[in-house]
Amino acid sequence: MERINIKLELIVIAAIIVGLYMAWNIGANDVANSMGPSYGSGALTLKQVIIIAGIFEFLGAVLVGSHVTDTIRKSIVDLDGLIAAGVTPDMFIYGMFAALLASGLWITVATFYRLPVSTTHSIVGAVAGFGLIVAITSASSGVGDVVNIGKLLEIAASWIVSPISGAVLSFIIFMVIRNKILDQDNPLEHAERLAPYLVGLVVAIISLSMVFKGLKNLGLDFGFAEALAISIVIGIIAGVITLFWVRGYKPKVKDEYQQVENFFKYLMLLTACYIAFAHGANDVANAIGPLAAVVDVVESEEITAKISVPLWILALGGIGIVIGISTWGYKVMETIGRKITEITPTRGFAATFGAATTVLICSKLGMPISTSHTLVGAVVGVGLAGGVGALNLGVIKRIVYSWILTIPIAAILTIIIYKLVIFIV
Amino acid sequence: MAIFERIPVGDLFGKTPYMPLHKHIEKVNECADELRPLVEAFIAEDYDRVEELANKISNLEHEADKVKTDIRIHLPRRLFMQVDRGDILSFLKKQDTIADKVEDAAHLIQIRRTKVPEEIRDDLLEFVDSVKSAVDALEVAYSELNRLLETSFGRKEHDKMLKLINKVDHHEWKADELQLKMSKKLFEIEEKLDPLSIWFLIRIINEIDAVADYAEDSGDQLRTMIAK
Repeated sequence: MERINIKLELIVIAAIIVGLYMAWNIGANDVANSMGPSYGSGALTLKQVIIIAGIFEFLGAVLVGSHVTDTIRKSIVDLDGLIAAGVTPDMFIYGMFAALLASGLWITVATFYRLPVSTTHSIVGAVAGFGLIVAITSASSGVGDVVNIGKLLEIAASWIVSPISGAVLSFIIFMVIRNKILDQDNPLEHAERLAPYLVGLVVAIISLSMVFKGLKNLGLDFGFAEALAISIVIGIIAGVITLFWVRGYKPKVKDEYQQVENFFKYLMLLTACYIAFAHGANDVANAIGPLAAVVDVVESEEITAKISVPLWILALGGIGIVIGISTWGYKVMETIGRKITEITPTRGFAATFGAATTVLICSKLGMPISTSHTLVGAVVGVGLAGGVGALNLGVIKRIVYSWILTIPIAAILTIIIYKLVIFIV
Repeated sequence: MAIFERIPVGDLFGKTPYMPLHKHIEKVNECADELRPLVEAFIAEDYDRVEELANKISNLEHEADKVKTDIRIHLPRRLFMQVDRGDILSFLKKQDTIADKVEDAAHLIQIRRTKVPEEIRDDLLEFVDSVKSAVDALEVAYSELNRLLETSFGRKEHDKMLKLINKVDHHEWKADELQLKMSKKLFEIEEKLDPLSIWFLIRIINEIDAVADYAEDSGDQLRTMIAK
């Protein structure tokens, strides 16, 4: 009995290390992609981007990260189905650890080959792989008994829908900016008139995501109606503050379009926080989802996920992401920034807003999606509205290939690692 | 330089040809800048200066060609752009022909010591100025493209740009009028001139007029480019 516990402790420590590595990789690469337009448009300096990303990725992870984490740890594989198929708590821990390690390995290989792979797709494929091997080796249970196929299809659908949603939202926002601001006489005046609404809207959405079912960890739990009311009030306050700020705003340049772009740099400050928050909320689960599952089972000694995700695990993921940003992500951000100098703050605002809104809604729905892919969709949306100079649509093809590759590879790697762990133990 | 990276958002962005296109029109216009000094030297029968300016034009034309080739190489088919790729390439080709025509005119002036009769000298200079104005107007119109793209084809900027392109047509029309006037005059005084000189002068004037014609054609192509 003692021996097994030591082994389990080792597995937990290993899971924490691999989870931290995943969080680091997310911070190093995915954050840089999410923040690309904010930095590339010249709205923010590298230092500002890193500070904003660090703070808001962490907040998003801790305040809203539990929803997607729950999906990863208990919705892809059916916990009761696992028990019925004869999986012991130990086996479950090994399986989740295998999924985490497999996902980490594949992401590492993919990153070396610059494949636009999503950590989200990787972890979902990996956990599904664990379910698959359990079903295959069990005499009594079929795949459908162990793997929650309905949920998987739902997640797969969200991977297709989310970039489209990002594209549609960004297209609309950019069309509004184009028609209501850029195509008007005295565009800056129109930008100033529209700003309080835009700010109010963003602040209200972020508040809603936090207040509604998000502050349980802080002992506050509001229903939807209450949460909505609170968020609207916060949004209005933000709008009024913006109104006063706008009154004191003086343009520094003469060119009327440059005035608008400079003005939007301030609004991009907000969307930069927005997308960092949304990204943290969704992607932290890719690093700590299996870890949360493991810790739960180690503590309760049975396969369950009744208690909500412990705050320390979310914080651990958040810290990993922040370390990733500060040790490697800034370099990747510089590379991206050099590549997308042609994006301007109005375009960056539209793309970031569309992507962040999509990602945050998906996070609340517990849908693990790829922020980078959603942002690619959002930029294409702005492009379709005639807002971006030249888009290399070959990237979309590469994304689709990576998508198709990732699921089976993550699943098979998980199965191999799981078998190895079982063999060694 | 980071090697360990996944950057789909960064890879999504391609290079636009608008800045290089602007560089191209600048080079082409530098060619056109030499037209007036060239014709002045031609009238003054300063053949050393003609030689010198013709060489300068030739070099500038070559530089414009290099910019043109560079744009073509860096405009892959898979790029999704605000402006049609084919329209951009046609525009580039027509714009490049402007420099070719300046060079052709320079060569005609260079190869034979043709005397310019007193009667058409003033008209010839005015004519050259009109041709140059057409090219200038094209450069001004093109410069407005950035603002049009900035508003992503807003109606306001679109109208503004169309008005600027109309100016190219206006100068081209004026050049045509002067060409006709000079041709008539040349035949009015035909007894005073040898046939070969008339033939050469008519050809030189036609070649210079072609500069304005291609500026107009480029303007037309610019209209097609921005039509949405």
